Amino acid sequence: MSKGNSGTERGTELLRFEEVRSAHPDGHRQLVVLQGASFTIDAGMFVGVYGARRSGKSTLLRLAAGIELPQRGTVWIDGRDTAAMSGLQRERLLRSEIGLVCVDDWHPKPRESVLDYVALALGSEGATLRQARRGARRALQRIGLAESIDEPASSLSLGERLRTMLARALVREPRLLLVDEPAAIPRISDREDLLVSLRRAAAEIGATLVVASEEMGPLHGADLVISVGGGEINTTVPRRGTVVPFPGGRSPGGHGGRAPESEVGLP
Amino acid sequence: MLFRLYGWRLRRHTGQELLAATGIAVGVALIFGVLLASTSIVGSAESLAGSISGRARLEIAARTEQGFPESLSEAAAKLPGVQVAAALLHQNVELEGPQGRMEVRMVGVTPSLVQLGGMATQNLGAGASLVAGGVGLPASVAESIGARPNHSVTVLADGRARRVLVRAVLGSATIGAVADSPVAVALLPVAQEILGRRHSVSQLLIAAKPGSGPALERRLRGLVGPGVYVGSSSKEVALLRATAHPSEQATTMFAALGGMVGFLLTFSAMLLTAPERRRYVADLRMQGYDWRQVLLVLGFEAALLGIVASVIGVGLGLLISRLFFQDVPVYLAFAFPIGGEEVIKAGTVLMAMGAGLVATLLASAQPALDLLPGRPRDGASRRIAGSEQGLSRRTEVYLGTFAGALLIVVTVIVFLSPRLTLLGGVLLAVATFALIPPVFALTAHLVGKVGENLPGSAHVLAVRELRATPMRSVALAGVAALAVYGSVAIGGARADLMRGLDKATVEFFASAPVWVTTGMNDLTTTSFQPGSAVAKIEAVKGVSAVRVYQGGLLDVGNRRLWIRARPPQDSVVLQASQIVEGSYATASAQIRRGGYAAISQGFAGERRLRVGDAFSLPTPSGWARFHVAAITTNVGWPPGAITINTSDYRRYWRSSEPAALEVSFKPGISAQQGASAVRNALAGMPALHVQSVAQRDAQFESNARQGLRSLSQISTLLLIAAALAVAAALSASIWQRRPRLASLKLQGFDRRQLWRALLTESAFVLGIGCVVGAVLGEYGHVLAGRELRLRTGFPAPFAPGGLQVLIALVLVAGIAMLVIAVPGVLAAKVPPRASFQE
Amino acid sequence: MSALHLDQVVKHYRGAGETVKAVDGVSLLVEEGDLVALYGPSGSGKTTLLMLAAGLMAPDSGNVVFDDRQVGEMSEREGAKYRMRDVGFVFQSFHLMAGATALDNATIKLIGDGRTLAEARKLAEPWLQRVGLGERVRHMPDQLSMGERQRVAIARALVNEPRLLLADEPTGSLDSKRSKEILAVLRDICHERRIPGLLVTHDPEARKFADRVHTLRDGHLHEGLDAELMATLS
Repeated sequence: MSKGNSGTERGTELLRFEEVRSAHPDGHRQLVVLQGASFTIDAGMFVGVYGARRSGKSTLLRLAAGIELPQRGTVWIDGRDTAAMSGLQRERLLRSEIGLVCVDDWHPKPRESVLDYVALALGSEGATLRQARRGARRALQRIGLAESIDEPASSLSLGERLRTMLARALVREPRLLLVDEPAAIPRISDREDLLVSLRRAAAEIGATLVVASEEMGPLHGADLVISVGGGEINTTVPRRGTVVPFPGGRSPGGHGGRAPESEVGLP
Repeated sequence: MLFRLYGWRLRRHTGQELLAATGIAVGVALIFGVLLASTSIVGSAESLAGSISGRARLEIAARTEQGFPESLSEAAAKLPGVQVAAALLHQNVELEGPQGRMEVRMVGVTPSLVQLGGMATQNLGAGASLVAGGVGLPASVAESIGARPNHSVTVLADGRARRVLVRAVLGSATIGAVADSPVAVALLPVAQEILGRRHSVSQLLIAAKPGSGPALERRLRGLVGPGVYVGSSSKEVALLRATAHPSEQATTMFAALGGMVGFLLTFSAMLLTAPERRRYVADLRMQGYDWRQVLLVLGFEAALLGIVASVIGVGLGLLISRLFFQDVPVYLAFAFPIGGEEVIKAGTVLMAMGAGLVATLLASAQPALDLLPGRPRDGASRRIAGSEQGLSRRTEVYLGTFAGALLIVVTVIVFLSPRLTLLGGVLLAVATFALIPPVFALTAHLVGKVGENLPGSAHVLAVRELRATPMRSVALAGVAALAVYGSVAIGGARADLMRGLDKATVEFFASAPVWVTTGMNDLTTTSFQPGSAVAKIEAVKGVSAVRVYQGGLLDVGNRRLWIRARPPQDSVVLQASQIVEGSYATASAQIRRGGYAAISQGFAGERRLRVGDAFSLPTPSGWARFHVAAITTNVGWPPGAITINTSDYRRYWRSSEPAALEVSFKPGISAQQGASAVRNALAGMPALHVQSVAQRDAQFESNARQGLRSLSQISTLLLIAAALAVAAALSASIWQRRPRLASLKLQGFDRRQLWRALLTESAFVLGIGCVVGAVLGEYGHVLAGRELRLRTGFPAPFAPGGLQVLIALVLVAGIAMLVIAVPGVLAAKVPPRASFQE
Repeated sequence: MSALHLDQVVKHYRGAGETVKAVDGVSLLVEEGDLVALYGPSGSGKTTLLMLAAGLMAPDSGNVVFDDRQVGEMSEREGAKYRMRDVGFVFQSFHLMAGATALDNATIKLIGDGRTLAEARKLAEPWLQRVGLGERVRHMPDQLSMGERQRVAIARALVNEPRLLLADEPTGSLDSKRSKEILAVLRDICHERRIPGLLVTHDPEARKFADRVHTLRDGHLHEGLDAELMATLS
């Protein structure tokens, strides 16, 4: 059932933010998370979203997934304006085009096996359970979790859990895969394995990968890094040795933004 | 402090606390309403009797409506040891006023009644006006027929119509409980005149001198002989209790079911609140509250909620009882003095409220479990999901085994001892509930297997939910199951009973196409002076014969037996379908001959009589000896019936007054035409009613079914209440699941798919509950029917309850699904980002 | 001596499917008047350390001592009293009562300790002012921003005048300016009242307000910031 992403040529525009403003009500006031953010992501890219906690990375991902709408500006997904779509159409985007992975989104039933929890993700496409399980098996193999498929999902370690979540997203072969904080695992070695598996799996299905992280490690090798902070964003095409500046273009060690700069390429 | 804390929580979580309160209130209302209905009948009779008899502990009373001679009463009153003696005469009559007609009990009293100190007699100042003749009416009766003081009403009694002056309208200040009863009061001589019962009384109430009770009783027995009852003055109530027993059993059963349903509703509502309360407990402990403080807070909040909701429930129950059970039950009132007063005993209120409180405290115990030493204290850092908790495989297996064991136990005990049928019914209800989790698991497994190769997401998502067997779904399915169980079991038995009664009625009246009676709502047991009626009827063209049918009630032991005396020329003297033992042909011939009687099961069982055995009855003329011709069902009258012929009746009862005139016609004349002609002939005799056999059947059945009607009302009420409550709770739990629904949207399920899945899942939950309830309900139907037939001897031939079951299923499942649809749509629209919000 | 002393404390627990060595032989002394900042990667056991210090968990081995009392061996009642009277704990995922005002939320410990609401309100108000919420004491939590709610939680932890301060990401929801204000308050409390304070944080600003800095990584405690963290924080 591999649909592949052959329909989208590498290099054509897949996601575009145009002067996007996003603010959330915070008690009695509005917290402005993004202020006039603009950038473009082409198909096939690996993009990093970098910023400290609560800087707006998750909001950016949600806007990209179409589950939040901008107050001002436009989010274009494959040439379609998310705000112009109905709720139903945006829900269907999540089925066919977009995969969103967040650490908090973990709700397996008691005794539900890993295989079934992943197979569930194909249920929305009208697959029978048998077909769905086949697809799930494939995805779990891709992400390196083949041995645990019959275990109860609720008994997994954090690293295995993250892999399962990634498998769930991969199983529908989305064109755009958005991953929020895949690095939230204590052990560094586990973290690196996971990131390698993720990059490989995304490449295999031809998905455009966007990873959000508060550390630079997972974003190593990105074609584009979007830094978020204080409502502003900055886009950088990293080269070896380049310092990824923080929004506002302030120099290292100075004030402004939440976290100072970091060097690309360091673990 | 406790109030404050609860107030703060309540402000935020008003919805869920309200839902919990509703569950409790509904449950308590069901229990209370039903308990009230069942205690009221006997309670009001007790209250009425007590308010008249005061401190009289002894009485001598006629066993029949004819009464006994006044001279006997006078002699008894003069016996040593008698302190106060008051004679009474009572009989059912019809009163007609400007605004209507009503059946009442006419009571003739003597002034010495006041000396007995009963509540009803203490303020008889207004009643003193009765000395001048006429009647006094309670306010309720006066209002019904439009009677006013110093105006006349018509009394239809003994086959005659008389105008009588209303001297006084008496309120409850004057006559206490009697004010709500259908009675008419007059002085004894006046009543005797009106009723045509000169020189006879029904009852002599006696207050004995201290210490002389037992001796006096012996003397009285020696004086009066077997035809007159001597004993405790609470006999009436005892007789009533015995007669009302079967319907009381049924209402007790419903109370038990209502209680279980209420408890489950409370439980599932509290389950929904459990996660939030567990966080609350964790927060308090983090702030340094020790376990006793936390327990106090939890207990206080639960108790407050429980009490407030229970009070509301009691109020609701009162309303239910008023709406449905207010009428004095005609089918009993003709035979017993039943007041219209609603008797609310403190005990009943406390019991209902106590049940509600206990349910709330139990159901809110779960958060308290976190206080146990073994559990970690920082609950806030764990993901808590109370209502999502499912039952383990092991528990499911245990419950299934437990249910199976219960089924066996119930079967054994009921077949061994039919008296335990009520207990069996309750145990069966428990088994119904226990079966739910294993059936969930089984259904999930089967549907899962079948659905593996089916495309579509609704059943996959639904099965996923079912497999987890979450407690909230089990509880709600349980509610549906219990409601359906009650309806099918008791409704089925009721349907059987109605069928049996209908048959019995039709056969009984088949002996003549036209019947002339007093027209009152009785078992054709009120006799009358025919006067010139017979001659008038015989003169009607087309009449081929007029026969006298006699009947009445006879108090024997704990039974107020229905005596039916057939003229030997009747084509039908026995109801063929009601015979349990004996041959119809032989028995009919024997009864026609005389000296034989058909008796009902209960009576036969009590005295260990078989066909052919001899027995005696205490009649007005002394012991009457009969042989058993056949044994029958109780023909719809719980204490039972005795069928003899009219010559025996005349001999032993010393009366030739008919209770009915049977009119037969020459061929070619229909019952309608015949009735019409006879009616014309008897135009000047308003106290006599002429009915075709169809009309007679209809009146009879309507009376007999009245008790059953309230049963069917309770059952419908239970179904509707359960359906609505289940729907509300399901909707609430669907609403609570929104974050998880949002998570499914991230996996690509759109709102339509989710809505279909929610409906499918709800359909499964309800379906499982309803089917389990229906299947076990039918078994309950078998048991209940058996109890009716064997123990109480009712005619209740079993037939599988097809329509009844269907109605119950459609009502519960249909209402619930309709109600869920809307919140389901709203929940399915949950934005996917809700998956991340707290 | 009301210092907080952790001595070779070990706490492992079974996470999902594996044994996590949250705290693996940690020794730490926080003197009176000292504010210690504790850094480390997410999930490294920093929160566990705070829980142990608050007596909400008992260590598998080692001692947790405050004011010469074995915190790990306290009975349920003693522990509750300890948390109510001695400890001021600012949680990461604090929960305010949504139906109570900011002021009433801050009083929760005091009313649990037997004071009337009126008394408690009087005592709590100055603390809310101190964290900069003087104008908003009568507001409900849903009318307050995340940052303001966090400050209510901080005030709540301080109203009972604790003798030990434990804070888990107290500035997580605050912007830079507010963070500095709060960190200053926490430092001042520790200094003024000569109480020990242990502050778990990711906030780079925090180390400027702390008297000492440690890092917890893989269950082990290191002095100062280790190389990796240095890189992320500069």
